[in-house]
Amino acid sequence: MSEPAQTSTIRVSTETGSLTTYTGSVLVPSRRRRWTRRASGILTSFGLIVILLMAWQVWTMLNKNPYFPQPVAIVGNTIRLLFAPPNPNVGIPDILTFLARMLSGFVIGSAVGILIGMGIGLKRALGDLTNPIIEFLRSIPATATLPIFIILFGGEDGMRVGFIAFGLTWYVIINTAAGVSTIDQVVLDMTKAFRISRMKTLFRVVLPAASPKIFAGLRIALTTSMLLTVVSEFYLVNRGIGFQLLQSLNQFAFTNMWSWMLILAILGYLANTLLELVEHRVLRWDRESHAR
Amino acid sequence: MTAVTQPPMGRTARKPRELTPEMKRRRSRIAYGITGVVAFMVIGEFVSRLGLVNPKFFPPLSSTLAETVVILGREDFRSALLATIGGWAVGLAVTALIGIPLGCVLGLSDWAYRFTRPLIEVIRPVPAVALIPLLVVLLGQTLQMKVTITVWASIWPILFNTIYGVRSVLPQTKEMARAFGFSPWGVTWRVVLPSAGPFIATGFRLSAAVSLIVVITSEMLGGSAVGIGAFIGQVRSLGLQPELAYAATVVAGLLGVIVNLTINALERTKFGWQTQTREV
Repeated sequence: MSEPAQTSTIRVSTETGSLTTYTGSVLVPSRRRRWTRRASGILTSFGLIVILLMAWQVWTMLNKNPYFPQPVAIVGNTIRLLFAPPNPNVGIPDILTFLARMLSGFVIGSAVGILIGMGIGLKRALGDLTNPIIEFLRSIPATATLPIFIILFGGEDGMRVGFIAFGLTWYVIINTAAGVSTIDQVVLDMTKAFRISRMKTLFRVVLPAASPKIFAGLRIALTTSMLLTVVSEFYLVNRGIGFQLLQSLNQFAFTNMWSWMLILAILGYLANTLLELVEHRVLRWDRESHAR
Repeated sequence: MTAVTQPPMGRTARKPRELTPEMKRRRSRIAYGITGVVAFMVIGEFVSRLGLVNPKFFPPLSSTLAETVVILGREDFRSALLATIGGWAVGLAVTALIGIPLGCVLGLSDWAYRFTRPLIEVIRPVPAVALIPLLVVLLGQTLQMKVTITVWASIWPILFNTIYGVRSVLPQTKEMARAFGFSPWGVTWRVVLPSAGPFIATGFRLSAAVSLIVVITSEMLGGSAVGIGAFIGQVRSLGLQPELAYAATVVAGLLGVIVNLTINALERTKFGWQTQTREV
């Protein structure tokens, strides 16, 4: 920002190849300088994390605070929770239970959302008919529906899966409907003219055409599924990450609590990365068509 | 003068003659919408009345709606509602005050972006609800707690949309503003921020929804909470009055609808493009 306005757009775009990484700097350094810059770039970026972690470590070593344990202790405790459990009921089983609930909810909610979204997107009348109801139902803050699910279905895992699926399906419905409604009517007419069966049209034409938007919805849905699973495990459970979080809170075991937060972060990161990989593969055709 | 500067595609610039099919479409949409709502209500009423589901767990819609009106008249529920709205509004304001400037800096400075990106990638996947127990212990059921949890949960949409919006400003535009003698600060304030406005608004709308969820969730935990979340939680633990739980959820839904509609309306009035071109 402080550099004078001697910016050369052409040079910048040859350097980075795209607008999104526009820096506004003029310099196109020599190859050697570019390498050193990249190295220092890596240093600066991870430097911040390292500095903060070290500051946290030093601070907690100097001031003992039960709420904020030392990072080293948290990592050690996490490893112990995962790989050397003092009893078999702690650690891995909770994570597996959590993942099972989360994935069932995510898969069911997404499947239902894609189906409903396709219906709404394809048939305008259906969309008009359901629009106000969907607008209302999706405006209910998802976690506020948990008591109702408990009233309706009790404390079993079916209730949890239903709650998770219900809470996230709106993102998928809306994105699918938006994606489907952008399909050119001519394309749909053409499938009719060629007498391509309905099912085939749905799965080979409509679904792929809407998939970029659908994946946008799925990404939000995945994050939401994690949030909802944790909340659903706050009540009427004896296993799961949400349960362990509350349990460590009740026992004032804050190192455990931080460990579970760390585990959640890692799981969230892994799940997002996995979905991104799937998306990358499924949507390859889309990127290629844009590149052309 | 104004008629000339308005682009033909704008919402306000449609000629009366073109309105007819548009209006027809709109009318049919409203008619269908009302039909849908009525059908939904009839189903919600009679599924329970005919005993297809146990009315003890799923009361008829009419009694839920009646109960909604009743609790809206209750003093304790109204103060709960106000506590939730207050926590949400303050939290969202703080989120915007942090997120938008931060997003501008990260969007404008590649160095700052690279410096903070890994840290953001580490922090972001921690689900906000995982923090709620810790924050409830640390801060208690206070406004501070709600604001903290709101910022943590809902800063991401606003931050990333701002970064994206700031970056999508054409460099030529910024250069031209510079050439006309704007300071870098002026360029940011008069050119970059207005053109990133629609993106920021989208982020704000997403953030608003997320923050309402986490505020209500945070109220469901911890005994001393005041708010809709606490109200719903208490009803659940007392167990016997499903109508109350349904009614409170309906109110939470109405709150969400109002929030959505307000922000959508703001978005529409604020970010018609012609107003911005006139300002610069």
